[in-house]
Amino acid sequence: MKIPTSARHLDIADMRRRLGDDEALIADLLGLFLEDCAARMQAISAAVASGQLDAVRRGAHQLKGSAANLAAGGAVEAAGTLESMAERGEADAIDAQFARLTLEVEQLVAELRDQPAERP
Amino acid sequence: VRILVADDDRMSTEVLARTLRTANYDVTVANNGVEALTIMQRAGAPSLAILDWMMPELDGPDVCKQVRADGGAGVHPYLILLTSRDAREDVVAGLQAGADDYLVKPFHQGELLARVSVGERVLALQEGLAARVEELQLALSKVKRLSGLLPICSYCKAIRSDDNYWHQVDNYLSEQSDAKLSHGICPPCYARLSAELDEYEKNHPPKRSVSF
Repeated sequence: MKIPTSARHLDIADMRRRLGDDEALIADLLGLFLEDCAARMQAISAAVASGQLDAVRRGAHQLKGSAANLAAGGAVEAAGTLESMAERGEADAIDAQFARLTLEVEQLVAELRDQPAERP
Repeated sequence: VRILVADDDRMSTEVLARTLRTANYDVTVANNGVEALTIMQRAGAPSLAILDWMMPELDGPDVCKQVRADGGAGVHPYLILLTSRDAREDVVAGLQAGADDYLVKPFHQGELLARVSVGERVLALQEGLAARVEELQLALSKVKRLSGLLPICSYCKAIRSDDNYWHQVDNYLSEQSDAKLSHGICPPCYARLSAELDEYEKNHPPKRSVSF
């Protein structure tokens, strides 16, 4: 896994600070994130579609944790908001927030794959 | 020191395990709370565990509670909970569940290692204290001491032992204590005994049968 040289959706400098400049570990973490990301998003999507708020909360929490490892601020925040909404039972707002999270994650993944997503 | 790392997120276990292994710790990984508890309940379980707060089935605090409930026999592993940054209000509940410390995710390697070494320090102190207590208990079992109620004969001053035998007070004392008795005679007894001896000699004059 190649570490992106300049990233807008994750903070590589923060990862280096936290992980003692361990480039191999950073590269492996980025790889693990990419490997797990699609399945995590699908699980949240299914939970959103079936209105299982507890599963939405759990899935959003996990994704938040993964994204936090990459210091991917946008995805962390979007997942955190979705998690709190599910926890508070705000079923009406969940679809829109999931859409926001999806966008954040897509941009992050695109950047990790070194295929810049279209500029917003 | 052997360390258990438990998290259902493999990115998290990867960072933890690699950081700790690089620092020469022996690391065991569990992917959920049930697995973590099973490992902590085995004989020779790791003495330090880093547990994620939110895991399916059995979460970190539940594992802490269960480990503490099991740990009657002086087994007290050092437990560190992992929480996400916005869950600080949970810290109190986690510590009350039996955790010794907590670490906020995503953590800084330096902080992780520092907290683990605090755990090692506490474990070493604990181990030292346990060894000292054991030593003292052994010493205590060897110390003979007299205490409590001793039944004593008002006339001959014999003392009744726990096994219902009557012992002369001097024998009893030297058996039950580290005191050493040196036998002698007190002035009133000396006076009484020499009077008795004089009386005896008066009544039994020595036979002067020996002749040269």
